[in-house]
Amino acid sequence: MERFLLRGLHGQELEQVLITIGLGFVLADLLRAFFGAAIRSVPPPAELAGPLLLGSFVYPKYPLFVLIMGVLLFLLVRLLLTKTPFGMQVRAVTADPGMASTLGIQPARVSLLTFGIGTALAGMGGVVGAPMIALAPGLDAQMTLFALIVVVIGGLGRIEGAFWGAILVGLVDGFGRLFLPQLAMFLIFALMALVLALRPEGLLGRRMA
Amino acid sequence: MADVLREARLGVAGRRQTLLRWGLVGVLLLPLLLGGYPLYLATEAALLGLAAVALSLLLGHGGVPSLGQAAFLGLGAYALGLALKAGLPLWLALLLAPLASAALALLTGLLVFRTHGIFILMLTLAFGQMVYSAAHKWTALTGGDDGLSLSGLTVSQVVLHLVAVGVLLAVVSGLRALLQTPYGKTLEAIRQNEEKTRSLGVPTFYYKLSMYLLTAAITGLAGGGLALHRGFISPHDLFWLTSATLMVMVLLGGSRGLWGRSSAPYFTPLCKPGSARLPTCGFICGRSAGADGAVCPRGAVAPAGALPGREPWPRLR
Amino acid sequence: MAALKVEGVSKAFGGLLALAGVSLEVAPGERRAIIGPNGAGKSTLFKVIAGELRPSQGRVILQGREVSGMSQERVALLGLGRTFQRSNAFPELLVWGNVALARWAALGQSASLSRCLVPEPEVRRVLEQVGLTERLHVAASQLSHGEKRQLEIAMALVQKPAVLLLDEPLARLSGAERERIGELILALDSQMTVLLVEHDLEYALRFAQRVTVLHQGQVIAEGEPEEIRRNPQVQAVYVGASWTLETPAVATRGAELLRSEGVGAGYGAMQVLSGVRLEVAQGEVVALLGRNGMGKTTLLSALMGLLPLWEGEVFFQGQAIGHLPSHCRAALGLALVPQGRRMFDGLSAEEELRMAAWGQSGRWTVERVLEVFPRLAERRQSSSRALSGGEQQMLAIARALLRNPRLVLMDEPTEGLSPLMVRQVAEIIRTLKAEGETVLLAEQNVQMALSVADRVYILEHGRVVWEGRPQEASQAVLHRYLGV
Repeated sequence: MERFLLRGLHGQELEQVLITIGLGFVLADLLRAFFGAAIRSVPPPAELAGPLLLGSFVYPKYPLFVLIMGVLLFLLVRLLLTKTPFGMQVRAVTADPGMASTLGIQPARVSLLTFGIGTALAGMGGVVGAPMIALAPGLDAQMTLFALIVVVIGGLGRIEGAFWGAILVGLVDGFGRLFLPQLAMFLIFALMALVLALRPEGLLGRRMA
Repeated sequence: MADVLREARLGVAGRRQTLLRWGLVGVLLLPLLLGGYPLYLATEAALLGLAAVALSLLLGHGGVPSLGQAAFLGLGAYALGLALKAGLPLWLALLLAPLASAALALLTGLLVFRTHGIFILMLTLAFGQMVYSAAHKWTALTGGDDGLSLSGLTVSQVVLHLVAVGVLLAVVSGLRALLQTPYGKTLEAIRQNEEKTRSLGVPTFYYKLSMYLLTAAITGLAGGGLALHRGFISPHDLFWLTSATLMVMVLLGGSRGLWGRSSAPYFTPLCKPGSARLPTCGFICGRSAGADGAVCPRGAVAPAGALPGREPWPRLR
Repeated sequence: MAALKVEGVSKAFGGLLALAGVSLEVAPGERRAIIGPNGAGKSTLFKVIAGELRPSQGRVILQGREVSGMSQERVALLGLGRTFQRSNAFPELLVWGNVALARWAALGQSASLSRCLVPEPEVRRVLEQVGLTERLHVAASQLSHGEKRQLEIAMALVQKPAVLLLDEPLARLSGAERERIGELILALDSQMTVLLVEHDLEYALRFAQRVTVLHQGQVIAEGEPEEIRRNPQVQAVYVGASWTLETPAVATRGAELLRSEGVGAGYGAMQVLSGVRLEVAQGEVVALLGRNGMGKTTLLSALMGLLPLWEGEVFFQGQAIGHLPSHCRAALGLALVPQGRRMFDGLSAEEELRMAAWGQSGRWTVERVLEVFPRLAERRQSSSRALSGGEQQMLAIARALLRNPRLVLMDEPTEGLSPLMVRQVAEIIRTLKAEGETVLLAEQNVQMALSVADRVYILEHGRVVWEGRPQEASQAVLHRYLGV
């Protein structure tokens, strides 16, 4: 997908969005064809099911596992981006692909790998999160939306932004559902709109070139 | 010599266009003979086509990528539904639909046009979802997930279809005429080069806003029509997927040709119900959207739409 | 009453002061030329006058009315016309449509809903004046460069401005087109006040009744063309106060490292370079000189692979590299110190160095580089964008060196640097030469370049017009191609 469709569109974010949405439609329909439209649920593996008992502290094990995985993956990606040579190349190519290529970096290959890692992470999120979410067609639209909200609010250009953005959105969503069920969804999108209008680079983001 | 050839080409293209246009009108009116489900789908397509035409004005000619059109569609529908519930006459309800959408456009437009390009895409998406959540949660007003049903309203299928097609044709012609006026040309100029337009003394913000209002009003009207047509309004129609679908329609038909736009919806609404059985249909729709975005922005139905020799992809702002 | 008055205007962009207290006054109907070397602030001045930028300090008064801080749209409607450096029309509209649009805008009729399908007489008249009657019904994107300029001017004229700003109208034009536009401008209505920014100094002096000279954001001279021509300060600013030219020992030329044959390149539809032929031998420092817009950066970008070659070929160590992408050329031993430094947003100084050095082994290592540039060692943790201009230049040079290249391409390394830093850069280049590095240097600072180079090429309008040793570059040659 990256190689054939997105390659020529570096920097043209708008077109990238439209193409990927179109492809999303395609994939979603294909999945529906293969798996049918029924709602499914996936049970968590036996070791991670049930509650965790730490003295008087009771907490269901699986969500804890998801939480830990999330933090772990975040730290891993962060490490990758900041400490490894590859990470530096990714940041350089994002900032200025032309200049990066004069330093011997192949921007095309870096982009491909980045896209691949990003997609893989998304897939991972799906696998880990499956036992906790109802699996139904239409999930793709929902998740895309969430991902977009998090990135917008948290900010583009820095991985910390996505992390804190996700936490913020999750908290607002969770507590909102508890205390202000009517307004929760509305508030999240209102926040998104506000951030876009007033500070398009997000709360923790870096100004895009 | 080149001029003569160009005239000839335009002549042929012109004749081809007229033929296709009459063909299109025929296609629009054909379902009347078939009745039943095909007629139902055809009316739906005509109404969605109206919304798509509005978006093509906004996107193709104004260069504003809006992923929040579903909000205007749904608002129009709910406005009509609620008006009828309150006992207002049909004509008044049909008037309120576009007005409500235009009002929303005015409010959100003030923020939307402070940004450009991809941010407009995301911001309109956000606003659209805000309206969606309001529709979804404000059960007292909208009936929430259960939706709003219009009971006791009998509008003949045939009449509805004729009116829908009539309005569609009228709007397409009207918009084409509008694009020939200084106002329309200024909108195109803003899309092609906003800086230059401003340096010539044009306050571009107001032009973009007014175009947004017009688009919203037309979409709202389409929404009202859909409410009448289906007899039922569900908040799900306001989900961003509908906005994305509209955009796919616009891209399939070629973002510049208004005529192409009205035919594209015929493919997509037919695909949606059909795709449960014919996944290939959904595949084609999605694939075409993807391919169109990159390869053929003039769209799959281009010959019916854009004039030959036009530049393919509008530089979106 | 002055047609245009600029009072003490300053404009700062972050830490960079583009304009520092510029004042000038233009009488109605006057023809004023604004000249100055690259980076002097001419475009910024125009932008401030037009309302595209807000002045940090000072006022702009148009026909007695203060317009500083007003939006572009309002200033335009108050009688200011403007043409842009890059021909900026509406590509999909027809030629007459472009002009009609400008006319409607000026008359406030842009929102009119009456259909308009044919050009009005006024539109025809203006197009005739600029000489585009033949092309009335052509889409603007189909026009040649010169024709696009004619269209720009037509769009400005149809608005009947009181004051017209012409921003480098002759840029990147050559031959007959240049003549045509030049004549068109000279023949403009004498009632209109015209301000011209141009790099073609001969033309600017021919056109103007008065000339204002800007340098580093300040007015350093103002007067009639002849005065300015003779003004030694102005001369110095363009050609530079002379540095002592060391007479380098005439060494035997090393092996040929780089050769370009008949190279042509450009941007979009615009050809900038044609038939460029040059050679760089091992161990040499070769300088590329030329006024702004003559093609120096284009040539270096084409050599590095950032721009595709339209014609000709480039040979590196005998191998044809014209078709290779930049990273392949980098692997072969070419390195670029780009114009404007081009630091990576989000990387620290040290990260830039480590990234450049990754996978490389050779004479230049990160440790060695930090020895040679101690300032960088101190500032290694800072974000590369936060460094000062001089430090960034050091970093850019270090970055290129860490590739252990065979040939270093340097694009205007002294741009925006203080005189002290300029001398430091010259020192670095001499040091590199002593170490045996080969450098191809494009420079605006003539004297600095002459003091370090073994050989010099001068570019004009995208062609090599002179080559030789620095000592051979007589004052006549320098003034002809580079000076006032």
